[in-house]
Amino acid sequence: MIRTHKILLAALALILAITFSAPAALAESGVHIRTLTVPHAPSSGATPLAAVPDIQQGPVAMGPTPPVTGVVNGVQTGPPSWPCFGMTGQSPCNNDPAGGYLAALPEEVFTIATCESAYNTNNGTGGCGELWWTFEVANAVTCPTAGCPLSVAITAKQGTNTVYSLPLTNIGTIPAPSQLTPPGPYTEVIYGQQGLGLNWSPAPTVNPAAGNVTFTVTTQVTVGTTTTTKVTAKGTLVVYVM
Amino acid sequence: MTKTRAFLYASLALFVALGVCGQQALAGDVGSHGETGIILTDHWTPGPVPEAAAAVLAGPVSFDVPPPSVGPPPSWPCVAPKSPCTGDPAGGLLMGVPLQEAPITGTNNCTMVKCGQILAMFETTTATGAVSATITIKQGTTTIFSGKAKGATAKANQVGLVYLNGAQLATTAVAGAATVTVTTTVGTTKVSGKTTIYLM
Repeated sequence: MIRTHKILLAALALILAITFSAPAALAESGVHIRTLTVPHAPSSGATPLAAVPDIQQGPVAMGPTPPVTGVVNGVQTGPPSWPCFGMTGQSPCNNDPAGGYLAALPEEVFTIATCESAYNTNNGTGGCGELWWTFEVANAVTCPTAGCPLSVAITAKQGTNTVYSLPLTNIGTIPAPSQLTPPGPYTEVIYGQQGLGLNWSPAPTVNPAAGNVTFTVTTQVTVGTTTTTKVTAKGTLVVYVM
Repeated sequence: MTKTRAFLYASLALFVALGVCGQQALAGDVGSHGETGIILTDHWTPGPVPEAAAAVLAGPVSFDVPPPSVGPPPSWPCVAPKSPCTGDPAGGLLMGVPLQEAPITGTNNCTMVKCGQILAMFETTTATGAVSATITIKQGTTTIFSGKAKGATAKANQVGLVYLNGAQLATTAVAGAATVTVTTTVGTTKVSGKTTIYLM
């Protein structure tokens, strides 16, 4: 009976974690990149017995601009259509089952004209679409009360030509898993409108030509409390522009 | 029975269902798995077929939270606003939350029960024909899981999703990194994608 209760309580903990957790870190910078914290169930309740990297790179993808960006007259007034995770009690994906993640549908072909279109600060649109990637934060990670500083870098290359470059830039903080309510593992989503060429890059660049574009995204988190360490994860995505 | 206890039992039933349902692995596979499927949808981003591009382009691969309902159709992956994710706007993909860690110790670990959902994405440009996929999880040269998916016929200019529910790993799995590889064949063209998960 006691064992049954433990299993039931674990199931309840999962549901509570997904239902009541903070929906977003709401970090915003001049480069239009934001974050979303997505708590999830412990991996079958297993205690981590092996060392795992503090942050672990997940998928990298680019897809359609959300139909609702949440940006009105240059102000982020609400959540975008995506990314969004189910059962948060918040629109727009509150009807999706727990454990679900609504993302921009990953695509690999984009038009140059669209990718070069400038970011519209008024309504939050522009560029090829929404670039997103995820990483998981290990349970052992600790952070100061204010959270662990989070920085990202993005490069997009065609051979030796750089068609987009964002140097490592702080976009806010993320919590330690122990700082969530209730504490538990989570996946972090990084996302933002992404374009290519002279209209987009904060660093020297050229406009794209027809062909493959290789994106490399770098995530750096400064973990620890009294002693800190910078940990890094990288991911890549190849798309075709024409 | 209290309302709370009934709720807890319902939650437990969901997890048990995720762990035990699904078809048996095909002969020759390593480990076992649940349902597999391939979903095709037209491009959301408009434009002509890029003749100069590769015939098939590989997209991301992920190891995700399994769907609460395996369907058909499963709760996810789901290309919005098709059923069952009819409440989500077009252009969106409902998938499981990506995970990078999986247990191989303790009760109900991934060598004992089917875990997660493997999802791989691709896009056709000029390629057409039958779509099939092989899914493997390796640690070094040791294969700790393999499975297959097939069933759809692709047209040019489509986005494809290959999924496999519930990978149960071989007992030879050890703590540490493991590489999930999905190789998709469209007609005669093959593409591969990978992700790394950590077994613990």
